[in-house]
Amino acid sequence: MNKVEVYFIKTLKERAGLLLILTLLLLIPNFSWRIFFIFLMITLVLLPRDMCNGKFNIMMELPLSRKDVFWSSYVFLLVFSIFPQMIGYSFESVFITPSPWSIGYGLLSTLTFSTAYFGIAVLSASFGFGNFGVPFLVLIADAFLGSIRWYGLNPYRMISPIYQENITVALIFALSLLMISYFIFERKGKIK
Amino acid sequence: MMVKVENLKKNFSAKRVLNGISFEVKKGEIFSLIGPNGAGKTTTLRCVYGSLKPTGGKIEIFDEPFNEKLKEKIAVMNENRRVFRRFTGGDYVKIWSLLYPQWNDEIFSNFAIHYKFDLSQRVETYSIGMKTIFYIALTFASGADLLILDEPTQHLDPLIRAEVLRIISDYANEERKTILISSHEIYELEEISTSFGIIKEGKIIYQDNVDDAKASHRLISQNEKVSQSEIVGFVGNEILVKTNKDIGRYPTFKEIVIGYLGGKEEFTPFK
Repeated sequence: MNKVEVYFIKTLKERAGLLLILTLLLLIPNFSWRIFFIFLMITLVLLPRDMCNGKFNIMMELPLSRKDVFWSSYVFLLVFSIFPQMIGYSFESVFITPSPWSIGYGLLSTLTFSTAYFGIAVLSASFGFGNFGVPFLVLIADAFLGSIRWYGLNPYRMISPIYQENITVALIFALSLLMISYFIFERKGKIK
Repeated sequence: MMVKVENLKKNFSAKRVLNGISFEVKKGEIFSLIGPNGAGKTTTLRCVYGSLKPTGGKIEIFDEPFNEKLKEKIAVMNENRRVFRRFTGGDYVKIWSLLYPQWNDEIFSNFAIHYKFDLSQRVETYSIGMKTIFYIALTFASGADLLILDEPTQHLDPLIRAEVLRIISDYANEERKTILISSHEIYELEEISTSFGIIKEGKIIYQDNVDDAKASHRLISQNEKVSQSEIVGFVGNEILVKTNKDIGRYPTFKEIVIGYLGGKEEFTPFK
């Protein structure tokens, strides 16, 4: 637990300003905006950024393992993406009463997107492609590919982290990306 | 054996940086890794404490293969004194005390009082010398069994430098802790090291303890004839040889290092 706490202290201290802004923006009850701000949090605040700006090296000098850092960063992401959304729902309930199903679905969608793009950004940083540019291109490609419909069909939309037409398949795809990124991060551990 | 490195290799992309490094460090020793810039000292240390994954070879710490659980017993001071942004001295003390089970607050406080650390100030704004002292305080207070200090006296004024060297030496002798140092400062290393390894182009070219190294080498003049001796390299106008024969004169620690690093090729830009 101490190791997770250390990661939280480090991230909250270093990126306090940006985190505060992003957390406030994540209160906006709109999925498109929310995923964009989550994308910014992943690429500009969390592990992918640490891997590219040398802060990961400082963490490695401490009694922290790659595993500790990876999962602490993921937990941080989930806490800071899901809690603002829940607070957003409580504000929203003043005007309309969302059903438990829609709340659960909304949280699952956020979890799916966060998981997939955390994996993508860690993979990008692990292979030396940076923490922002390549993940941003993937985001654009994801949005574009998912928007194409051919005779009303597009199998990609089912797994797309943005469109999530089949939430179960999309979540499985996202978890696969996360696990692949973890194993590659463990093996390669790209260090600046 | 506290540290055992065998045939350590490390590539960065296609470039080989470490080419079969091997050395051993016993408990309570101060082992110095000496070599020029780019020889692979820092890369070796980073492999030892797990910041870099070796391409090949074997690393054992405390008689077991390196694993990340052992890091609680290793405290590291990095070469560039990199620190987290916006972290105050107090924040650093907090995270180090959370991560090191043997953390000793009293030792840290002694350093803090003596060197007048302002723990409410951001560490990134400390002078480079103060950052060095601050890191030394953290590593010594960590209670770790193995300290890895990369250039521990860099950027320190002569008075504090002497004090730090004495503290390092006392810590190893009195607390039976093991210290692995990387440095260019040959004079200082002689004062405190019990053993050393000379690293050149990604390889340890000589390893010994300081006293044995001095006893087993001689400096002879260039005209002197030698037999049953191994010529190591040039040291100014003299030649460093490894021998048991009573010839020439005993070299200093610095001359041994220069002899090995310079090798047998003399640099003569004006000839």
